[in-house]
Amino acid sequence: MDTGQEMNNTLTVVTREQVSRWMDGDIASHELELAMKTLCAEETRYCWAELHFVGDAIRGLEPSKAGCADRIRSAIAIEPTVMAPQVKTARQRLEIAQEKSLFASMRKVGRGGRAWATAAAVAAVGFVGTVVYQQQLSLSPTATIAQSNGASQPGAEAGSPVATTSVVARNDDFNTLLQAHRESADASSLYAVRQYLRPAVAMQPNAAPQ
Amino acid sequence: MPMTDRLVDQELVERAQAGDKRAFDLLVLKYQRKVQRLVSRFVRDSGEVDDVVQEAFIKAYRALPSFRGDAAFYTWIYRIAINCAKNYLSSPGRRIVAASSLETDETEDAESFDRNTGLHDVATPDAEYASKQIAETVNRAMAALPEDLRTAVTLREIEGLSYEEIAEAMDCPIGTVRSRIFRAREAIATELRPLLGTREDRRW
Repeated sequence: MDTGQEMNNTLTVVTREQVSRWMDGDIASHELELAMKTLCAEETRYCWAELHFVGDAIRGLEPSKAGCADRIRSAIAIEPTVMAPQVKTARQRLEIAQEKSLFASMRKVGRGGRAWATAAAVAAVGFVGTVVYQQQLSLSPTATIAQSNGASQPGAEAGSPVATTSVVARNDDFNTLLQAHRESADASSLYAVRQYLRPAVAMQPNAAPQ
Repeated sequence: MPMTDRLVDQELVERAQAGDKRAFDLLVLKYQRKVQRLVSRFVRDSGEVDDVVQEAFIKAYRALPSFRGDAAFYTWIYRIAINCAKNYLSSPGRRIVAASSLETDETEDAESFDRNTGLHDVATPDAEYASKQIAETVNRAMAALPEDLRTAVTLREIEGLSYEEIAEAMDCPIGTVRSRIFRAREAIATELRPLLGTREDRRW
């Protein structure tokens, strides 16, 4: 005769404790697969049934007639197997709930959290901007061209931002071209963008800046 | 974040919907006594109650494709059980009706039925004796439990608190709550086992 005691002896205490907490919903999403596989085993099924019986007995529920669940199981066994289309799974629901919980935690952090995020973003932009600017500075036309002509620029030496971009003419034709441009260009068409323009100074190779 | 009791049910339902009949069997084992108590509010004869309970679970199994998980499984199975009980009572030759029960709102939360007294006017003397024995054994086992175990299992089984809530109420880690509830259940199960019958003739 196979008694309940014998059925339970085949299960370890660890497994029974797992069943105890799983039946209360104390189960992490990552152990769901293991839980379902374990619960469907015959020995664990008995443990599941017994622990639910204990809970119902504590609540004062009347016991079922002996073998009631087995009769239902036999009746279900001869039913055609259900194959229903899957909608959103419980696991997906749990993951959604976890995401909501995460967002809720972030909201709890509140303005302080947002301020930290903003500060971090500004710091990152500032850092990248500084690095790029320094790279551009080291490759600026002033320094390159001036060095190529053996002339030194005070601004470049100091490493400070250059307010005036000096363009060193490589030949005499440049000044002629520049003069012609000034005379023929319609100055009013540059009005809208003049704030973005910086004055260009034409320099003779051996002449001092004007 | 742990799952809730309801999500575990939902997982079992989805497995049953995917063709795993064992998963549905676990739901039967979990809810059969609650459904039985509910049906007994409508049908007084214990033999007829069993028939209606069985019919309710079979209808639920057939209707699984229509269960989308918008409501809890127990709400769904209770509604099916109430309809089965009413259909049973309205069938020719059935006159045993608990009038007050039929006036109950179908949408009433299923948990409230658990707190009401079942109707067992036609229960057999053997069944009554067995029920009484089980109740006395549980009460004795509960009384013999250490205070912290009794409190933990009461908060879980009677009050329906989650492990997190019990940990907060008892001011202890959640692992301690798990252990206390398990030890309490084991102690009560040990006392109940002689009354549960053999594998072929057990109490579920």
